[in-house]
Amino acid sequence: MDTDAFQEIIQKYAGKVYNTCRRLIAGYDAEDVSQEVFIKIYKNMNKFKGNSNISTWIYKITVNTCREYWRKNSRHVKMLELKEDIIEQDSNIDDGIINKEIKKYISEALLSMDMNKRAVVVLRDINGLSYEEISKILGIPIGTVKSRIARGREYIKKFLEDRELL
Amino acid sequence: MNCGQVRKYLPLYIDSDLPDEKACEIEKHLAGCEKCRVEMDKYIRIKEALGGLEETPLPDGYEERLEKKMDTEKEARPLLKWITAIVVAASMFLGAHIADSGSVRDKRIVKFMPSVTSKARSNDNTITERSEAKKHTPQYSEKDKGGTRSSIIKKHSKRPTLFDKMFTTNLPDARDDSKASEGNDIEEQKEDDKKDSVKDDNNTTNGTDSKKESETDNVKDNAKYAVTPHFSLYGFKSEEGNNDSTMEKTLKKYGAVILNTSEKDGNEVITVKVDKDKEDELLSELGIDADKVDRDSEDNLKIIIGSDKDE
Repeated sequence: MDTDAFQEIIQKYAGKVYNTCRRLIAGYDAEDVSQEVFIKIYKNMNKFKGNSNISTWIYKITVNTCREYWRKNSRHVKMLELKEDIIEQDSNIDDGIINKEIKKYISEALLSMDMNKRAVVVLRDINGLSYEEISKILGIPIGTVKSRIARGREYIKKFLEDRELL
Repeated sequence: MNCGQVRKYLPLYIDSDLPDEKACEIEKHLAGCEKCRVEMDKYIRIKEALGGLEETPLPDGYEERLEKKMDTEKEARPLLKWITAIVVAASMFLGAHIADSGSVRDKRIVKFMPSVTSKARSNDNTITERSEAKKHTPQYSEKDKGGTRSSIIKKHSKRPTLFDKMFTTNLPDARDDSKASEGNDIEEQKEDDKKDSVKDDNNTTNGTDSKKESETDNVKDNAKYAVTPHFSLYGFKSEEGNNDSTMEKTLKKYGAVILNTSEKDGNEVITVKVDKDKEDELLSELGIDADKVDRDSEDNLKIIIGSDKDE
C-alpha cells in the first residue's frame, strides 16, 4: 500500500478514531483499540473499492473493532475504575452553558447503555454524522438508526431524571 | 395529537428531521402544552451536553507507538503467509481424506435406500404390516437407525435447524433412484409418515417431544426435505442455494466445533467451540454482529442466528 496515503489517513482520522473508541469502550484501551483500527485499515486497504466514502469505511472498522473489544472484555472490566478517567475529563470541561454534573453523568449514562444504542448516539450527537452515514456505517436501515437514537436519548433522559439532574 | 404521541416523537423532533406534517402537529401541541415543552427542553439539553463533550488530544507518542506496531505487523506478514500456506495444504489433504471416507459411507448408506424407495411405493396394506411388525421391535434398532433415517429426520423436525442441515443428508444417488416416480413417492411417503407418526407416538421413549413436534409438522416441508439434499459440510452442494453451506465451510475453515444447537425466543442458537485467536476472524467472516454473540459458562461462543437484540 502507498505509505504516503496511509500516513495521510492517520493524520486526518487518528483523532476521530481515537475519540470514537474512547466513547465506545469507556476510554479503557482506547489507544490500543484505535491503533488496531489503523492496522486493520492498512491490511485491508486493497479491499476498499471506493463504493462508499472512506470516512464511512473507517468508522465502520472503528465501530466493529470496539464492539469486538467490548464483547470480549466488558465482563472482566472493572467498570467503576475505568469510568473514572473519562468521566473526570468530561466534568472538567466547563463551557459555561452546560452543567458540569450533567456532563459527568451523561458520560456515565453512555457507558451504561447497550452498544447498539451507544454507537448511534455517539456517531450522531458527538461525532455529528447524518442518519444516512450512520445507516451505512452500521449496516442498518435509517428507520432503525432513528429508533435507536430515540431510545438512546430517552435512556439518557431517564438516567439523569433518576438522579434529579433534569 | 395528545401528550403521549407527542413525547414519542420528541427525541427525533429536536433533530428537525420529521416530516413537515408531523412537525406541524407537534408544534401546535407544544404551543399549548407546557409539560411537553419541558420534556422537549430536556432532550435539547442532553443533545447540547453530548455535543459539548470535547475531543481529547491524542496521547503523547501515539503515532510512534502506532508506527512500531505497524513495523511488527509488516515483519509478521511473511511468516503468516507461510503458516497460511501450510494450513491450506493441510486442509486440502484432510478435505480429500474426508471426501474419500464420505464416498465409502455413501455406498454403505445407499444399500438401504432401495428399501426406502420401495416403502414409498408400497400400498397401504404393506405399510400397515410393516408398522405392525415395528411394534414388536426395539424402537432404536439398527434397522430403524439406518433404514428409516430420512423419515425419522422428517418426522421429528418442524423445520430443519442449521444442525440438521449440516449433519443430515439424503444422498444424491438415492434421489436419482427415486427420481422416476418422484411426485408419487412424495405423496406416498407423506401418507406413510402420517401413519408412522401415529404409531410412533404410542411407542416412542420421548413421546412428549415427539408428539409435540408431530403436531407442528409441516407435511409440505417434510416432503421437500425428503427429496432435497441440503448437506454440504463434507462436500455435497446445497441445492437450495442458501447461506448455510457458506457458514459451514467457514466454521470448518476455522476448526470450529459445533457443540449444540438450540432455539430461544424464535432464534437459533449455535454453541461453537473455536480457538480464541481465531474467534475474531471467524465472526468477522461470518458477518455476525458482535451483539448477536454470547458465551456459555465454559466460554464457548453462542451465535444467535436471526435476531437483533435491540430491535
